[in-house]
Amino acid sequence: MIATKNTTIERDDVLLEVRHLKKFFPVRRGVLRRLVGHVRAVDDVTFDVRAGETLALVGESGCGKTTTARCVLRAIAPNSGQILFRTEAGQVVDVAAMARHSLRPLRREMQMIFQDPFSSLNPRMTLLDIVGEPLIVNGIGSRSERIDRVAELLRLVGLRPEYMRRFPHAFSGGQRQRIGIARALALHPRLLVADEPVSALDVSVQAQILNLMLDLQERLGLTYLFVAHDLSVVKHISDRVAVMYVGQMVELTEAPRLFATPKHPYTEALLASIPDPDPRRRPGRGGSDGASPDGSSGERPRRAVLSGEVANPAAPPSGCYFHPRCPYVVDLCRNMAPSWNEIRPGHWVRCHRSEELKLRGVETPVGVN
Amino acid sequence: MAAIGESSVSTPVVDEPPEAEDRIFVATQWQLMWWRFRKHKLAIVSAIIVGFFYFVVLFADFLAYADPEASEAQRGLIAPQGIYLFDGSEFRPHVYALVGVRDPNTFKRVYTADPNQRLPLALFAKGYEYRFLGIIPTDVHLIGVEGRSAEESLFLLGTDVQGRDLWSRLMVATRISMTIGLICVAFSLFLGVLLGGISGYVGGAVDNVIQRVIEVLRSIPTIPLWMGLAAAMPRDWDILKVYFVITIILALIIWTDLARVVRGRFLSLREEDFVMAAELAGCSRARIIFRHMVPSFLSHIIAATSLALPSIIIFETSLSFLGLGLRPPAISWGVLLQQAQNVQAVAITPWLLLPAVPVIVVILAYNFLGDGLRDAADPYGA
Amino acid sequence: MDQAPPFLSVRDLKTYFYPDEGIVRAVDGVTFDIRRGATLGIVGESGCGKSVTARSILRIVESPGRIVGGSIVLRQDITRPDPDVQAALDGRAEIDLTQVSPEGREMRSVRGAVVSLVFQEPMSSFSPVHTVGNQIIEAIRLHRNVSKREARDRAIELLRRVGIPRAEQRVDEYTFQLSGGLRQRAMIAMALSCDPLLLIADEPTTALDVTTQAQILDLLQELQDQNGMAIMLITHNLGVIAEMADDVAVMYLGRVVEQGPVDDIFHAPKHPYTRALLESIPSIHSVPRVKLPTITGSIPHPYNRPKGCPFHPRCVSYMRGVCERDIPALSTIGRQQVSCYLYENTSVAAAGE
Repeated sequence: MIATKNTTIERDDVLLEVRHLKKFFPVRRGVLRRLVGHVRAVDDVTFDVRAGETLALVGESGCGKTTTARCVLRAIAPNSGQILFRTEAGQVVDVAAMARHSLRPLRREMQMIFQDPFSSLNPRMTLLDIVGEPLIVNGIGSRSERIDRVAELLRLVGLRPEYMRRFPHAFSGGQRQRIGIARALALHPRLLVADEPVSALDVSVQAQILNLMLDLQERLGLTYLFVAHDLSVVKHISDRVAVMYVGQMVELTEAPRLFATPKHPYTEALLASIPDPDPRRRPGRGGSDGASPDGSSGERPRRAVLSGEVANPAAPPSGCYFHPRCPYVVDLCRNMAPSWNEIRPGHWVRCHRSEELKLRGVETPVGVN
Repeated sequence: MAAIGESSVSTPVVDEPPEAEDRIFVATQWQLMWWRFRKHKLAIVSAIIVGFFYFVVLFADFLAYADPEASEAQRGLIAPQGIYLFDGSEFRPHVYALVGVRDPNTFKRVYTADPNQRLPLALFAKGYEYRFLGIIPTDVHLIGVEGRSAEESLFLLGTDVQGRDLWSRLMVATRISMTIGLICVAFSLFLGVLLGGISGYVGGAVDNVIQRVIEVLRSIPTIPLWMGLAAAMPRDWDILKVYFVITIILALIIWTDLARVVRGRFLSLREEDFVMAAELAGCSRARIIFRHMVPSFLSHIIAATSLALPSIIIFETSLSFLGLGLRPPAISWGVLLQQAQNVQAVAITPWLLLPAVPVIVVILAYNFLGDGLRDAADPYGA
Repeated sequence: MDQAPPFLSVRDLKTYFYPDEGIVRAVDGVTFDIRRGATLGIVGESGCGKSVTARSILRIVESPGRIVGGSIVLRQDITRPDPDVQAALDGRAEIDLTQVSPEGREMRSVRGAVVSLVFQEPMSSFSPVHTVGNQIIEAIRLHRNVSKREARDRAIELLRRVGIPRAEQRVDEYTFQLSGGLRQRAMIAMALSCDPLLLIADEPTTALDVTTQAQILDLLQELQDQNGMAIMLITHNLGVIAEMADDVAVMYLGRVVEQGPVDDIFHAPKHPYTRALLESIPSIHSVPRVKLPTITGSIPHPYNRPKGCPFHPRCVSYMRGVCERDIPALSTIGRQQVSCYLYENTSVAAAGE
């Protein structure tokens, strides 16, 4: 059997390359469970992740970011496409095509951090059991060596090693998330897929966990695939950002560029929708004591630029999926689906009009924290 | 404490003062369950009652005093005797002897209590022979009458139409009625966990088939089923065979409830993040099932079991009462109640209805116990 | 700023819970005012008591909780008298909602008609077995003497007003047939059905996508401009507060630690917790990949409340011997009020003016 697909990664610095990934979920109705359609959860997604960087997958509900992340880990099996991963040994394997039983050695190299700190830890196991399980299952170390390693991991995430005798219910949300991170690090993975790791945490705790993740990345040379819906968090932690809408990637570029000069109308709308934690920059109403809005003519675009709801991934619109809500829509958008183009080096967009549109981003005041 | 704004090379240790370890932090699932269970006073009382019944099961023959099989027509339908605790001012429990006089009109013996003949009771008296726990032959019983055979003189709860002492028969009946439930549940647990687990974990077509089979089984009306089976069982089978067959048939009906509970738990557990985390760590399917999933639903199984037992007891009692289950010479509550199936029992010899009392008590106790267990079953509040 | 006296004043409100394990002081001395037409933002993290405060105002605190102290005073606005407030007051000048029975006539005329509530989870606050229209009609007919026909027309008009397309059809649909954003709009419609003076919105957009959130917030502002109603916006999202609120109350472990006009709170925060909170949130405008300043430690367990000032174990300005003794009194600095020993002497000077 001759392999017809190209299974090499061209660039040396790329750790993960996803090509034309598709995952559809069947929709069945009726007593006999007839197939009536598909939910196009991931609809032809292509991107790469470079070693040592943080790539964020951003989008709203139904955009497919979580499904993409789970496909990368082979927690679910994609329908088609390639997921090329460069192992520590230098080999490139296609995670999507591997047989189930060969996945186990691969598991050591990529791990997941979950969103819900309460359901991601088995409440009936001690911390030693939870964090040590990957070691046991992979036959690493004797019992006392495992205890040492677990102690080291707990220290690494900022918890006292004595806690290993305790059960998860003894800990707060933020601490549980740290335990989850410790577990994920047990096997020295190179890629960590973080599925909304701070969304379920209190505001003041989010910063702790984000700092921890930045710290660990520096110390251990980790690569993060960071799934989130909160763009402020994403801006803080990512090197590059990919925006997804209804199963498709609509824009991908370096974070500063995405925030300052987005090239897709959906990205612009997302950025404009974020409530700004500065009352002086309110649209229209001005500050509470009559202070004028900062900088420009005082006209910030109306916050909610988008009307309508997120499109239904089981019945997406024709042409460009975003066209019913897009303020810049033209006939072409309704009839023809745009392709994924690299309009500038390192900047991909899926939009017919990206070259001509002048879109508004978010300013970062220079030198201000 | 690290100050705000500190960005250090090593992550600042999250601050928790190193106090004495709170018990609750290192409490296992079972400890948490027990603490929660303890709060249910009613459940605790019920547990004690159920425990007491099982004590009776072990000591059935010891607690009886008259041979349950010893029939004597002349002693039939004697009303319960009273125990008098004081003889004059002395503490000397005793009963009055019953003197039988043949009624000249009906030629039946009529028994009346003779206050002049006081028969003192004795502890650890000798009575009929039996094997304690099935192995140790002995003839010691809790109480008896000094110098006389208990069969002739002691009738705490009266006798049935064949002159057999009801108290002693009640003790022995408890043994059969309570243990049939246990064996039955053990069988159905095995079937229920196995099939329910496969159904929930594997899913798909297998799940579909098993569920449909369960639904068919549950929709079969039980009484006609039993009548058919009862008719099919040969009359000459000995007690043990009948007991065994009844146990199996009851189990085949009860397992469906447990299977559904187990399946439900498996289905919801499959979606839990920690199960996915275990898969991603490389755990084998077996490890996930036994290390992660089974402990999670063990407590539910215990709760479901404690609620299944009363159903089985009622089932057996009802069937035997109707004559479709155990039959004499087997002794169970249902068999005893079978003799109370007429107006005469209610009107003239009401003590024959007494076996209904332990049935009611045990069912209530099991239900409260089961409620308490079910409430305590998931201390993590899932 | 509206100079009329606040129509709702909460003074030193205390709501405690009494489960088996101990006492939870969910709200432990909360004071604020609500003015007509203004938005009060209540911001805090989990355990701060913001939701319990809202429920206390409506007297829907579930057992084992109950109000144990303080007052919630409802007044009539003489310049613009409201008939529903009239009905509740029943001739009196003002009424303390903590002193009336939760099931009594006064509370029932207050709920829905004077104060109404929008929850976080629209799916669980609507009945799944009644249509949206039914529920709005019920709310209307509880407070207004109108026929079913009239109530239905009003319901359709309300749905249209909150931006639900094809309102005449939607009014007969069930909640599960609507998407998240539409459901939240329907809930707002129901809350508005009797023109309340105060709309309490408890995390109204937390469960929604950010683009839908923007729509809902715009809607709330628009409705406020049209109706002149007050909004009490409860959230942990500081961005939403900055966009929507006129005044802000910052809560921590059951107390308001700081309150004041939104600009002052964001640009001149006084309380160490407010400062730390503002510094620790990642903002869309901040420089990326720089470590965020964090608040050490975590929110204490409700059974383990620290003595004295609830924030002192995590406070960078902690003063030994001072902060753990008593809860600091409220000090006034300009238009802000802070509960912190750092400002204790300042307030004394201000009070003497």
